[in-house]
Amino acid sequence: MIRKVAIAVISAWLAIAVLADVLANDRGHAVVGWAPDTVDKSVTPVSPPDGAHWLGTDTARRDVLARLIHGARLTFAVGFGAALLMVGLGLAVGLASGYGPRWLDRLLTRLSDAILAFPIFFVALAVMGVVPHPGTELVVLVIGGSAWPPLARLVRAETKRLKTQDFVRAAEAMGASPVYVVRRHVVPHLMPMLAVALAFGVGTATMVEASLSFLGFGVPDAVASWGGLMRGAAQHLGAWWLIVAPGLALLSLVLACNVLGERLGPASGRLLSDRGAP
Amino acid sequence: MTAAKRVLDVALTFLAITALTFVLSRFAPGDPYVGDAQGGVANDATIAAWHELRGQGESLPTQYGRWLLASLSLDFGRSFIDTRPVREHLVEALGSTLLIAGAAALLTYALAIPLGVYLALSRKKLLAGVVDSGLFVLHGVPVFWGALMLGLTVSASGLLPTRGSFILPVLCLTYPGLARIARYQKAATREAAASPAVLLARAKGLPEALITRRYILRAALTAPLSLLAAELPWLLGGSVVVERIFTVRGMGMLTFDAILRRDVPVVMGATAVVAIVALLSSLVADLLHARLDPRVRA
Repeated sequence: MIRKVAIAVISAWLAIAVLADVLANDRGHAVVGWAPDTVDKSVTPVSPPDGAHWLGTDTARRDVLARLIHGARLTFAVGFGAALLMVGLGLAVGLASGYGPRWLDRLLTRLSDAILAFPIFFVALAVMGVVPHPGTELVVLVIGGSAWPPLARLVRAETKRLKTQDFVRAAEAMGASPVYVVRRHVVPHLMPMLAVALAFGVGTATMVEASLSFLGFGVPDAVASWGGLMRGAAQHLGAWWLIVAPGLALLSLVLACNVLGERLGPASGRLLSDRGAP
Repeated sequence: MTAAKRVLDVALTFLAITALTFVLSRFAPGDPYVGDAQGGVANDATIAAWHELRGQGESLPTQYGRWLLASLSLDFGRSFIDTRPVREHLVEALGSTLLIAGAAALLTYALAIPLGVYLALSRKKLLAGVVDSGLFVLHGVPVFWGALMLGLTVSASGLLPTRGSFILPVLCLTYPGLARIARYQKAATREAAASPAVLLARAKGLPEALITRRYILRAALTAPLSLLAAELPWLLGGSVVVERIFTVRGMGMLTFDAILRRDVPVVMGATAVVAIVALLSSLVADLLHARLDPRVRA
């Protein structure tokens, strides 16, 4: 039941993201008659909701609802992009650690321990603040590139366990190459874990992206994003229309991803209890 | 892993992180050491002094080496913005952040451990289920949104000042860890309650209170300590967000402002201090866990 709700929520946001241009544009025949980057000179910045702007306007006098709808695109792009990168890196590092030579295992374990022991958010800020023109790709790279250690740990442990199983030993005895063994006998067993990691990963990446954009170190201001919408609220603490709707949108998506992850498999408990996003 | 190895790891990680920041700050647009510092009163003398200290024109590794040597004697140069020594900025900011993060860590564990045990052992299934779902939802609330919503309700009710006070920042840094650790404690307690030792104790006819105290809690209470090593660095990262929202002059705010104004000496100094605090607290957490739980020492 709850799983179906979660799938419905994710599908609904996906549909909104795909149809964003049809739902909100200023060419007429749209549900919301504003494009995300149209500046409405007839209102004051951060004006509260009224008949013209159902969810109010932001600091640059743009329609909040239009930006919310178009922001779903960015949320999915960054969420899935970063989560896929995270799963790819976690799988690669975990397999290399668990199946590769011992020196490599030690090196990679140290690397992931070091990343876990450091407030990555600080480094992410520094990277985003220092690179000349940070774009959406960099956000994906920074989030996905720093979130893999918990998954790599799980993959490593599971690979080490599988390595001692009879079917792997039999394959090795018959002369199967390491690549073949990993692809044919190890990776298929990891699939449930990877699915769980991907579901949680989308949720976490979405949260980190929103946090970075909220601070002004995420995607450029021209790109509509939920975190960017809420940035205006840091200066205008009373402007609830900048916070409530985008925040609830974010929360619904993150919770749906977490529910899905929790219901998908047994590895979830440990993945979830590793740290989330600031 | 032995303590000596851990200490070596800490040193290596520190070098890697500061080197990374150093290289990054060189890639900043324009000449990172000149002119791009916005809105500051930095005069030519300050910038010249920084050049002198870091060895302008020399290779990147040499410059990094110079910075590292100077930092070891706690000389981080002077801010490009107000020309005060970076060390003074750091000392002022570190206190607030350590206070907030420390209070949040203590509060998190003080609440999460009893709550987790209660959720695992309670017979009131409905109430426990509701609390558990609440924690699940809390876990999905990003700190910045939680802080904004809290700020919104508090400023509307006028109960507390939203700026400068430490209460709201501490609350905002507590709830994510509370959700994580209480759920972890619950799982660990359930696991301990299902162990063969507990079954045997029950078969022997020991009183339930004794079983809980001696067999379940003793095995389960140290479990959330394994999360402490990751929790402390997380708190430092989260402090950037809450300090910005509640205008606390801590490390997060200092770093944030310095990055915005391209105040390279402050960015470098702050990163180095945050790195060392995070790495040391994570090291202490691991050693503490090993000390309290003999199963980890092996």
